[in-house]
Amino acid sequence: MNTILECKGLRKNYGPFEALSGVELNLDRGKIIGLLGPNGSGKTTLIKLANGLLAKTDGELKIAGMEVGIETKKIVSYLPERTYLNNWMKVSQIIAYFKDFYDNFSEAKAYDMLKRLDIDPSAKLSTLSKGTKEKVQLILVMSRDADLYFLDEPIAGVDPAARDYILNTIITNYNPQATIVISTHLISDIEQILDEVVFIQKGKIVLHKTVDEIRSIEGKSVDALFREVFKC
Amino acid sequence: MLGKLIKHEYKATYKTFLLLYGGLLLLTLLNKVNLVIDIDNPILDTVQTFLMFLYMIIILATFIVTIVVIIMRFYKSLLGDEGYLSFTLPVSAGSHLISKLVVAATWLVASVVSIIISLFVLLWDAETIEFINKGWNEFKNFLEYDGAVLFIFILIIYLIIAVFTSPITYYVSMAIGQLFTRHKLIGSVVGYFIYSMVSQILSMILLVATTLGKWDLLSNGNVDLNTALGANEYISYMNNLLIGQGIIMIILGIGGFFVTKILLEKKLNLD
Repeated sequence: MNTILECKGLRKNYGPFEALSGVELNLDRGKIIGLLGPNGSGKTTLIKLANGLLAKTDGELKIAGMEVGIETKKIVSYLPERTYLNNWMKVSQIIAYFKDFYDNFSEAKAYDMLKRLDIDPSAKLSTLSKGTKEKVQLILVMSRDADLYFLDEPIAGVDPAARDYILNTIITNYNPQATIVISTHLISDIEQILDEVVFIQKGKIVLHKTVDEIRSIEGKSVDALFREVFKC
Repeated sequence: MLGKLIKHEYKATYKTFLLLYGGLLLLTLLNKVNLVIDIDNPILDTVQTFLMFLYMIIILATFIVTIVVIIMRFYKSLLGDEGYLSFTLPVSAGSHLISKLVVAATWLVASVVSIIISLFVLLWDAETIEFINKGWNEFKNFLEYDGAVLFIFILIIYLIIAVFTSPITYYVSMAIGQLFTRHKLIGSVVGYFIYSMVSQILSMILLVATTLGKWDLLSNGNVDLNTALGANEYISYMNNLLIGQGIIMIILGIGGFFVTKILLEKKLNLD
């Protein structure tokens, strides 16, 4: 059982619009995978389906062999592309909240990262800047010992220095049996940490290769290949 | 997990209500002091009028804030951006719903009880005590009639049901509203009207059904309510009406609960 995520003929319609039209995808454990595609290609829809925030229209989506539900939510850690923090808690309270609901959440890890990124645990969430909120969310998400992580645009809103720290955190902090799916436009920034890339276009997977394959066989960087495949 | 949800739901809401009840307490006491001293002075009179005005405002605010908090908590934490966190917790939609409902019911009861206590404190004087005594005696007389104890019992059950079903009305409306990708607010209002209309129609049917053949009782003087027989008949009519209305509320409440649950499970449509 080395597959962590499996999609078969996965479809999602919004009214007449087909956001995902028959996605076939198998992701293995222990990989860092870039989910790449232009705006509106279905990246976020796929991630939301895997997190149970949307209901699929048709097809199959399984995580660790299970339908999306309470059991998969225990092992999936998700960073959405927006801020989901409420405005009435302090940083320390949201950490306690995560600890309450997720058995695999490590408080020590979270406080350690807060310290390194110089975030005051007693600060109210509502007073934090947008970038700091994103950092707090990433800390919450990465402090879980999950089997599958979905990071939707994890570095878009933070400064380059923090970006390096975050990428470093991602590669050093996760267990080698876990898989991380990163969706982003900033390909060149994350290219060096990726094992595999998945290209998605108009709701379909158009390419799924290891980064090594792309580099050795195609002789290109992922960034260059992306520009070629999705040329406007 | 349900216990944890309830705990956090109280944490998220208690500050607003402490502030509200604190304000109510303060204005109750200030107005009470004013009523007790009652000095004739034009400046003091103005202050008294102003304080009484504030008191009425806070009574109104207690009702409005309670409803608004019940609505906003559900909307923000489940259907807004915070829903991204709520719905990725390893918790069922049913648990989310129950936790919201339990806490909403608590605050509804707390608000009503606070207002009743406040009014008692404010109006407590010899005259009122006498009035209450008189009322109590009449109440005891009333209990002598057939079905009167049952009536009180049904009324209490009815109120308990209402405390739980009124938040469900808002929840089901919003769960329907979020289906409309572009017009969630309008959708919620439409949902509210549909739900209210179903409830109104059922109530009308009930009213007609229970009242059929009882026109004597309600219109002309054929039945004298001052006789034991007339009063008994009237109480029995009211009991049937309340039981029927209670059953409608239970059916709509349970229906609304499951419609909301299914919509959150199968038709969640977060932006």
